[in-house]
Amino acid sequence: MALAIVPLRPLDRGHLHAMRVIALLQGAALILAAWLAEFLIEALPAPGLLVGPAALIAIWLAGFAPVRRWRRWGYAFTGSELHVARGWLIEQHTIIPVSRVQHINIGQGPIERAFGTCHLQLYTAASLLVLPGISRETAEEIRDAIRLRIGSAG
Amino acid sequence: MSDASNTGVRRLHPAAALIDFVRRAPASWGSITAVVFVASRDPWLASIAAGIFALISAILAGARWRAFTYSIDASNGLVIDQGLLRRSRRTIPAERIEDVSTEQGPMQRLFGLVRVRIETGGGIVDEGLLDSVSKAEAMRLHGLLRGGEAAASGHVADSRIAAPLFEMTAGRVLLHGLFSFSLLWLAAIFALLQGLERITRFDFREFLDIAEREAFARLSVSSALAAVALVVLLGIAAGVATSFLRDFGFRLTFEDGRFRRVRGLFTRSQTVIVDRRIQVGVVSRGWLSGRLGFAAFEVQTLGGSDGPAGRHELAPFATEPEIAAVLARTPLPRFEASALARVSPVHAPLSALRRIAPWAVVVAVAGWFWPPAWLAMLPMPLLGGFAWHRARHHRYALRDTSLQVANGVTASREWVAPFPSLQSVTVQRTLLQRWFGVASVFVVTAGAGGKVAPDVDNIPGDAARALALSLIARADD
Repeated sequence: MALAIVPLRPLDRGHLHAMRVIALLQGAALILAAWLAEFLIEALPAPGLLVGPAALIAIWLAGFAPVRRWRRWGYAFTGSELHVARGWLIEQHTIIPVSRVQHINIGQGPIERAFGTCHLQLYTAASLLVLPGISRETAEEIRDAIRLRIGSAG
Repeated sequence: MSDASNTGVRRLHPAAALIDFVRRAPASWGSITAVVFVASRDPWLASIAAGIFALISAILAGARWRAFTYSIDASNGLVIDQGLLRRSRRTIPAERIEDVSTEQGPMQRLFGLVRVRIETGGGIVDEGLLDSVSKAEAMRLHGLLRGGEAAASGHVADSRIAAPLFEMTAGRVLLHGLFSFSLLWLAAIFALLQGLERITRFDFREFLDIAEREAFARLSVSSALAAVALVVLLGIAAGVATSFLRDFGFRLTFEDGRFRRVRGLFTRSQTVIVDRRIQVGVVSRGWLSGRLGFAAFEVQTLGGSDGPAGRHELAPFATEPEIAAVLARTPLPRFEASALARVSPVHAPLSALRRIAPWAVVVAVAGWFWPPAWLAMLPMPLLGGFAWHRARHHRYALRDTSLQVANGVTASREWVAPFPSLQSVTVQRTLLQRWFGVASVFVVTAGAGGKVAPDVDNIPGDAARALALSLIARADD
């Protein structure tokens, strides 16, 4: 990450495939919506005026975007805080100290399950940080380490 | 307390059902009747509809009253059961109850009842609300749930025990109102006219046309000035009225580590702010009232607040010494204005750009369809200029025990965020910021509501990195 606050690790490779699948679904939905709009609106000068751009966007969404977006994510767990970085147009690097974590959740959607990744949710008194696309072992390691730190402190 | 009478299941005061019925009237059967009347223009049909729906509403209010029960027991604390179709049971353990605060709206005052709010540490959603019970019952609850304070603080909506830490005289409330210019009434009148037009046969548009013609016929500088003066006067009147309604008899006392605040003209509300739960403090000044030495002091607490922007107002309109006196009782350190450093010089132009850009896009799109819309670009330099000037005074510093941030110069906010209040830090950089080598640091604090926070905008990239890491390091201490 260009912000270079701490060295970051990339997300799990499996998450890239999960992102591609989701992007495919989104692209398909977009094309369907455009086709439906064309079907309903009769005032279009030429057929394919809506579906064309929609198809182009869908191809970019599913073909080229996922790798770019996947590369923009990074995380690091230093033992006393969790760093999560994301974004390209708007880069964001969020840091949550372990001492502020109220509770932790590990979740896994159906697509994530297919590719063996899950997401970690850290709740503080005033915010929620989500780290998607890490393997279950990593997530559980982080969770256990945080619980240990919190347990020993309080 | 193992007194049997204290553990019984109780209901709200019967008059609470009546208050509930009246309160819901406009939204429920009132609006249905209005719709029927407008659709059919037949007063008889509307009256019959009103009668039927009012009866249904009354029966429902009674059923809701019957379904609402609460009880206190030693092991569970306060248990509230409510709901007609969806029954819900809310259990609030006694240890989590921070305070029992009370409120009296005009309807409650009529019946001598009180609205009791059980405040916990968990935020608004975890509160218990008893709307409404008798004053005696409120005192009993206060005593039971807050332990031995019954004698001292059993006086509902009337705390003359401690000498006030901060008080607002009627004159001060008036002054505050004069500075709270409000044009909401304009919108209200327009909405009212629209509504009236549909109900009666009177054609307001025709009336307005005639009025417009007459106005143009007699248009002169003096009449235009008179119209503007009228708008201004009405705006000021609305501001004063709002101020009196909200802050009449404002009284802040401090005792036993808690602030007790009483305010309001028709709805008298009493709130407790526990000292050790105060997280962040903000002092805000308006552009004119600030010049005259007045400011507002608000705090964020653990568990949030139902004040606007999620903060508790400890002093809505006070002088510097008065604010210093209140601040001294909080765990917050003093605000050290002289110790703050400016952010990057790039912040002012970027800020102006951010203010103008969306507006410019909208005007450009509108102008493409309708050329006269381009006129809306005229105020743009002024808006940009204001944003620029305001942004020039954005300053921040890491002090001994807190992060302190200041914004603006005429209408300004000064933040004091002690390190323990920090929950998370985000460093953000947009494409534009990357070109200029700056970044912003967003700080999330406990008890934050609303959209403003002690964020530090547009400091050099290295400084942002250092600030974020320092904040995290201090938060860990």
